Amino acid sequence: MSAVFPHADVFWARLPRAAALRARPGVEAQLAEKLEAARSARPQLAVDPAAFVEHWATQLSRSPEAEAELDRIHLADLLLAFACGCGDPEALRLFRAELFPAAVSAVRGVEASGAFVEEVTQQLLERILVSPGGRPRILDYAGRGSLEHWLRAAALRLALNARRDSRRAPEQLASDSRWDAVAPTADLQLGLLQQRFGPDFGTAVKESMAELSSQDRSLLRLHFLNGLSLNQIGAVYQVNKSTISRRLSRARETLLARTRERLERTLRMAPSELESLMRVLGPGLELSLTSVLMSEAGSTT
Amino acid sequence: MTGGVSFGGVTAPAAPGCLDENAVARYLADDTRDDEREAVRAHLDTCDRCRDLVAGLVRTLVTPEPDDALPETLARGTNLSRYVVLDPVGRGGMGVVYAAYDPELDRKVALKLLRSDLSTSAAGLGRSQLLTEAQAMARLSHPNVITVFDVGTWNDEVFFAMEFVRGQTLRAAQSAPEARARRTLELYLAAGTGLAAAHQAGIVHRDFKPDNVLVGEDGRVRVTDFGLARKPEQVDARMAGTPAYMAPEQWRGAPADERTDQYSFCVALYEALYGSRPVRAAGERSGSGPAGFPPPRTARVPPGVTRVLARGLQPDPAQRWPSMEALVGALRAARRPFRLRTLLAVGVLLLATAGVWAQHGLQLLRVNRELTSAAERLPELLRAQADLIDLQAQVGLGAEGVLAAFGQASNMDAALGLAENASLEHQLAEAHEVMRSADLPGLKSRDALLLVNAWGSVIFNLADLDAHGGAAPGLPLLVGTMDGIASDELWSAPTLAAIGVPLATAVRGDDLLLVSARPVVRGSSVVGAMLTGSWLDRGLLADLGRAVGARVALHAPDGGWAGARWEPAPPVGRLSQVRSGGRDLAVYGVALGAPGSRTPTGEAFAYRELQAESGLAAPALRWALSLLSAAAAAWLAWRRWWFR
Repeated sequence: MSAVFPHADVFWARLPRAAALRARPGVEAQLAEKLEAARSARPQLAVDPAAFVEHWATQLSRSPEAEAELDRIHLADLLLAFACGCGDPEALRLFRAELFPAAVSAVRGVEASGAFVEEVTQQLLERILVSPGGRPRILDYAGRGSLEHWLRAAALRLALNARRDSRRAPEQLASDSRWDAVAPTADLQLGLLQQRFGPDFGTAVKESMAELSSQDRSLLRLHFLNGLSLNQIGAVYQVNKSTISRRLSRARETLLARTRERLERTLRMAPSELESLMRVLGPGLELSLTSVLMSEAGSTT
Repeated sequence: MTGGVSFGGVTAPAAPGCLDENAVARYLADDTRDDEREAVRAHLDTCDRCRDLVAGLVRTLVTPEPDDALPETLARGTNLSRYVVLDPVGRGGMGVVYAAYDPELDRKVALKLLRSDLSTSAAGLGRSQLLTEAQAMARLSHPNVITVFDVGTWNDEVFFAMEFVRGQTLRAAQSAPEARARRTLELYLAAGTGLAAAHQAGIVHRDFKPDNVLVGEDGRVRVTDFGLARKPEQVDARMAGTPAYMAPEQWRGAPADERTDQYSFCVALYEALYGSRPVRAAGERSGSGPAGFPPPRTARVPPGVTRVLARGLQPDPAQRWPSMEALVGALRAARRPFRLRTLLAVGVLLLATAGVWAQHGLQLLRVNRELTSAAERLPELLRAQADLIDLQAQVGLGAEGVLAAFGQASNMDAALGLAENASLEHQLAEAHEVMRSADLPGLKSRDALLLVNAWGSVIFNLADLDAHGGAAPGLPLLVGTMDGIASDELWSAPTLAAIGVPLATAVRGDDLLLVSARPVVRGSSVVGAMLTGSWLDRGLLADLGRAVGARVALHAPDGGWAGARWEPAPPVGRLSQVRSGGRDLAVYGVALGAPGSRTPTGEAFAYRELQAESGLAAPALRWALSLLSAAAAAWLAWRRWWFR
C-alpha cells in the first residue's frame, strides 16, 4: 500500500483521529489517485511531495469530518496554493495569470477607482503571498471550494474593510432629511405631504423593520441596500429566484402593513386616509426604504 | 490548530461564527451540503458583514436579471377557488388583478385578490361588510358597471371574479394624445351613469377615480372597485392636503354617501377636462365655494359643464346635486355645444326667413298671373278701338267734320258735346238711341255704349305727344276711365286733334291728362263726341319707357291713326319690374303689329303696382331675416367645432 501512496506515514501522522478513514478499504489507492490527478493537472509545479501530503493532511485535520472532506477537496487548487505559499516561481506565475484577475474584479466591485483597486490588491498580495509573520496566508486555503472563490472572498473582505476604514464617520442621514433622498417631485401636494409626513414615515419604517424576522430584514436589505437583483439574492441564499421573489414581496408587504399600522397609531389617521397618503407617497416608497435602510446601516456600523 | 498553523481568513472575521474565506468558498462551491448551506443562510440573516461579503461576491459573479417578477404573488397555474390563475394584469392599491380561467364555464375572468390587510376585519371595513357589498354588486347588472360573477375567500383573502375587460383605464384613455374633450366627456357620462345605477342599488363607490374605470376595446365604459375603499373613521385635524379625489367630508370622517362619489367624480372630470385637479388659488383659504373655480380658460369646455362641476365640487354635500342621476342628467344636457332651445330659436328664424321668401315668391307669381290675364285682354281692347275707328270710317266723316261738330257745340260746360240744353241723362239716352239705330255690331244698346265709354282708351301718338306735351318717349296703351276732370282744364287744352286720334293733353304738376274724344253717332251722322281722359304720372311714363325700351307706343307708320287698322300680334309675354316714384310696378308687355304683318310695330302694356307687398314680405325684413339666419347658422357651426 505504501508503494501506491507515497508518504502515507506522514499523511496519517497528521490525522491521528481519522482511524475510520484509514480503515476504509483501498483508501490509500484513492489518495494516491487524487494526488496523481492533482499533480497531472498542475504538472509544472515543483513541490516537495512529502511536504504537500503533510499540508493536505493538515487541512483535512481542521475539519471534524475528515472523511467527508476528503471526497470533496479541491486538491489541484490546494496544490497550487501550497506551491504559491512555498514561493515556487511557476506557481506564482500561474497565480498571477489565472487567479489574480478574479481578485481584481472582486475589489473593483466595491469601488472602481484605480487607486483603491491598486492599494487593496497590493495589500492582498502582500498578505497572502509574502510572509509578514513568517507564513503566507494562502497556505490557509483548505481546499474547500475553489481557490478562486477563496481568493475573491479574501479580496472582497479586504476591500470592504478598507472602504469602511476610509469612512470613519459614516454619513448618517439626519432623521428629518430622509425624504431628501427622494427625487424632487414637481407635484407640490406630494412635496408638502413628504415634508409633513416624511420623518414620521421614516421612523415608522425603521421601527417596523426592526420588528421583521431577520430573514425578511435581510432580504429587504439585500434588495434595497445592497441593490442586488432577485437572481443575485437567489445566489446569495442559494435558492431559486421565484422563491426569493415571493419571500421578498411578502416581506415588503409586511413591512408596509406594519408601517401603516404604526402611522395609524402615531398620526391618529383613519385607515382610508392613510391609504390615500400611502398611495400618494407610494412612488417614493422604494427610495424611502433605501434611505431608511442606509441610515440604519450607517448607525450600526 | 496543529503545527502552528493559524487558521481563519486573510483578515479576521468580525466575530466568532462569522465566515472565513474557506467557508465562503465552500458555500459558493457546487458540492455544498444542505446542512452547511442552511447554517450559512441562518448566519447571513443575522450578520450584516458576512451578508455584505457574500452579496459583494455574488454581485461580481452573477449577472443581474431584471426583477420583473417582483410584484407577482401567485404563479401561473395556481388554483384559486375554482379558477386557474393565468397572468397578473394589474396591481393597484387594493390588490393584484389576475387574468384567470374559469374551467366550469369555460371563460376568461378577471380575478381581483384583495390585499390581505384589506381582507382582514382589523382594517376598518369588516370582511362581512365587504362581502355584503360585493354581493350587492354581483346582483347589480348595468352596462357601465363591471359585472361581478363571484365573490369568495381564498386562503383568508377576499377575491372577486369579474368579467375580463380588454382595454385600458379611463385615465389612460383620457391621457391619450388623440383624446378630445368631447370624447372624454362622453366616457365620463357613461361612468357617471354606472355610478348612478350603483347608487340606486344602494352601493356607494367611495373611491371613484379614473384608475377605477375601465374603457373596453369595444368602447364600453365600466366602473370597477365599488365599495372597496374603507370607511373613514377618525381624522387628524393636522391633515393639510386632500389626496386626490377625496371629498372634504371624507376627510372629516363623515360616512361616505352618494354625494361623496359626486365629488370624486367631479374632481376626476375636472382633471380630465382642465388637465389638473381643482385646487384653491393661493391666498384663498378654506372658501365656502368649490375649489378650482373659475377654472383655467385654456380648455374648451362648455360653460354648462363647468357649472355642473362647480355644483358637484361644493364642499358642503348638501349644496351638491341631489343625486348622481341628476348630475349626469345636467351634464348630458350641458355637454351639447348648444341648448335645444337655442337650436329651436335658430330653426324658427330659418323657417321665418324661408316663409318670407316663399310669400314673396308667391306674390310675384300671383301678380304675374294677373298681369298675364290683363295682357290677354289687351288685344280685345285694341280691337274695340279699331271698331270705333272703323265706325268713323263708315259714317264717312272726316276729321274736319268732327271738328266742325265740336265747333258747333258752343256750350263747353258739358263734357259731352251733344244738344246744348240736354241733361246728361238725355244725352245718354240720345247716345243710346244713336247706338241702337246704328248698324254697329256689338253697339246695340245703352250697355254697349257705356261699355265703349268705359273702355275709352287713349291711343297716344308719340310724335304728337312730343309736339304737345313733351312727355317722355314711349307711352303705353293705358286702360282707364274718365275720372273727374275739371271741364275748364279739359277745354283749355291747346289742341284737339282729329277724331280717331282723340287727343288732348293737359299738364297739372307732374301729372299728364290724356283725353280722348269719341264720336257719338246719330243715324249716319256724328252728333257729338264722348270725351274720356285719365291722369297719368309722367314720371311713371318715363320710367316705363326706360324700363322696356323706347318702342312702347302704338303708332302708325304714317304718323296718324285714321284708317289704320290694328290687330294685335301674338302676345309676347314679358313681365318686368319697374321702380317708379318710390313704387314698384310689375309690367306686362304684348307686342302689336299691323294686320297681316308679322312684324310688331308697337307694344301694349298692362301694369300693376306692387303696393300690396308689406309687412313680413317687406324687402328690408326679408333681407334682415336672411342675414340673421346666416349668422346664427355660422355661430352654431363654430360652437360645434369649438367643443370637439
